Amino acid sequence: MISLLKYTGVVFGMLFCLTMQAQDLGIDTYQLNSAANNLQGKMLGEVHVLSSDATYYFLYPDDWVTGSVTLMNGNVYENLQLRYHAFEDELIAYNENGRFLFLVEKELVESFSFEDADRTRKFIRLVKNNNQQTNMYLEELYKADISLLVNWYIYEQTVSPYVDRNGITRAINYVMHKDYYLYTEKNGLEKIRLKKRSLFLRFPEHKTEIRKIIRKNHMYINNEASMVKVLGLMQENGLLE
Amino acid sequence: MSKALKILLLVVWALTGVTAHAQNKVKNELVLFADRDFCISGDTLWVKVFVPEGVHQFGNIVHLQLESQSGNLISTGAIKRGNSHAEGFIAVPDSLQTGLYFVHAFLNAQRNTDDLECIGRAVYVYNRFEESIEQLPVLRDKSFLMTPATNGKTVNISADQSNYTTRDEVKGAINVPGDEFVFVVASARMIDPFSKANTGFLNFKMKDLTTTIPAFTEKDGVVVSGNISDKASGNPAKELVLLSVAGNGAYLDYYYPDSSGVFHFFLPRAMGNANIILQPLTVGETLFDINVTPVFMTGVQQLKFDTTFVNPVQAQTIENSIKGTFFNKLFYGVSIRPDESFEMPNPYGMPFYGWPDNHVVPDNFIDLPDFQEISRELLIGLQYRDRNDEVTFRILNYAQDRFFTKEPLRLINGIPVFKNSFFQNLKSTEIEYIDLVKTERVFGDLRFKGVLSVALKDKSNGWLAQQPNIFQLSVPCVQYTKHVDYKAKVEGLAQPDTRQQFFNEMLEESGSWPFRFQLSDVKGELEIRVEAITKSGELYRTSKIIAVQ
Repeated sequence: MISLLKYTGVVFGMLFCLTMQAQDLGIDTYQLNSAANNLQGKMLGEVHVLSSDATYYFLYPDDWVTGSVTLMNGNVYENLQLRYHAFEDELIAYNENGRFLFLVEKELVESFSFEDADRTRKFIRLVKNNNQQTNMYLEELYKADISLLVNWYIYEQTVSPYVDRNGITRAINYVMHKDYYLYTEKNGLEKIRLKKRSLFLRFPEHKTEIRKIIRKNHMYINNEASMVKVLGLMQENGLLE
Repeated sequence: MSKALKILLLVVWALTGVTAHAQNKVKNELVLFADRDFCISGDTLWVKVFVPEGVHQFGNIVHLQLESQSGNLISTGAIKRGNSHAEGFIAVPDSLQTGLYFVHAFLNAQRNTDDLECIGRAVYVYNRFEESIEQLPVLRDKSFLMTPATNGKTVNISADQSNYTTRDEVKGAINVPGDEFVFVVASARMIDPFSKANTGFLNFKMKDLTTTIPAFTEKDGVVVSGNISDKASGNPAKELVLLSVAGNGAYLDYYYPDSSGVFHFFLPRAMGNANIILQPLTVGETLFDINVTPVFMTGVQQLKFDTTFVNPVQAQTIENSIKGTFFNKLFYGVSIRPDESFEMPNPYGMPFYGWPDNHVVPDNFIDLPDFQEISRELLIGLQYRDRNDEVTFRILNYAQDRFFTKEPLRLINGIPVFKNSFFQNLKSTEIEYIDLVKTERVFGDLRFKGVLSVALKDKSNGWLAQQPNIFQLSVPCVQYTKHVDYKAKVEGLAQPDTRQQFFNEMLEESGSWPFRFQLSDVKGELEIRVEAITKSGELYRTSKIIAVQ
């Protein structure tokens, strides 16, 4: 009985000490090691807890992928576990050391990229659109005098009630959508569809030349890759200047 | 045949040896040009450093250092490189004893380079309180002094007269031929025969004696290294080291030391003298020691010295120089004062804890007598509890709409504080502003359960005094750009003018450069010197000596 009392006392004592120490410091360090020592600077952000909806519908890609983040001050952080939260338009990183998720401080990010199905996707943070301040992540498909950017967004769609994988009856579905834009600093974002007609409308003065380029190269614009290729050829021929 | 071959090989080997010994080629070394061959203690030595393009990858911060014969570090400086060169100064301590000293330069990222070399300078320092100097050290092997080429190039120095009297104006021009040089420096100085004969360029083979400083590429900032140890045992400690910068409340950094207790920080875009605060992340009774290691590379290990007598003429010149400096200081003060100013823009563009959810300026409200009242009246979402004289804070977690169960990060003037008693007696009149962050913030691998940041009106951080385990240190960062003024400061003949240097300028690689300066009251020989690096990497020197009666 006495020894039981002793052990209980020791356990409580230890718990009390741990609690006291944690309270006093105000800094959680977890299992720090020398990998935490980045002389260039540290990542800033906010601890994030994912909802089940976010886990299933809002994150892209489907699993954590290795990527890199470039900050506005030029610092580059590589080999991070990243996912893009398309609903909240936030970048989420996984801290392997502390085993927590955090929203990377958006205001500091210049761009981020990650590997997705054998291709590298690069997102930039757009800070100015038509001389107006903005703050949104857009995928950069092509960058030259004119950039081709993609806005990923998720919208709610009312559907017939169904039971989801968690056994919850729902009447809402989330649908991922992409809008494509041509971007220049002068004109800002100009919406475009992945069709040659869109290009003719955007560049009416080069309509003949664009048509020639498309015909000469036996191209058909119906996806991102073909649009990027045409823009590249237009740049080569000085049609984007 | 074999005998002839041996002799031939011997001749070739001997020639190679001679060439190597007397070589004056610049490969990829920094080359340091000084505005004088001697200093009086308390002087400021102005230097220009040529940084070849091949080493630009190693960063843009050039470290200068003044080293004694025995390899002791006397003084340092860190200067920022422009395109191909950096300019700055080294303060020669007032109490430095008479002797031969060496000034050289390096880039921190070159630290681990094998056979790192730098072309620096030897300078004599004469202590200004020395009554008579009879002997001075000299290099035992003069061949260590590099001999710049003096002919083959056509730099022409012309002056309007060959003899001048004191206070005359000297006018002339330097003509630098086109397409021959990559770096040209021209200077005018009074000649001290002894230092002119025994100083010059030296090729230093640099050694890293500290070995703990990382070869980090410094771009617009400097590395601060040090070590933490247990005060009682002296053993290295592994406590996380936190760095704050006084006057920059929005900046924090941390380092997790290795088993040897060594830590490193990088202060980005830090200019001037930083007042840094280092502390281990601990609240226990254990006391720690924290020391900062100077960023240093020795270059004089291989040199040996003799002592030689100074002849009466040389001694007279030195004595006159010392007296001249005395009068100069007496009449005009020191040329450059230690600069205490400091500037370091926040590299994140926001506080390290993000933008606060609440920013409270107590001056906008009625005066409150203590922090308990302040938290009750002004700080919504901060819980202040005082039980048995033990104060605890809790911050509301916005994301979960309930209070965090742990203490927030508490800061006073940006310095992490682990004792809440520091806050207890703060009056609202003493506080400039209070920031509250009501989310769980991430800074690198650290997490904070909310942040309470109090900025006091008094930035002197006097409250740190006598606190164990908090170390306040002054660290020199990148020098502010300063230009020396060699012009006469005297008004009329009643005041003495004892200047020994008259100009020190970097010239364009080609063209005609007119100069004009007024002589001082110092008599003797004046040298207008042009030192340069040719396109083929050769050191070149030419000079014109004029008499001042």
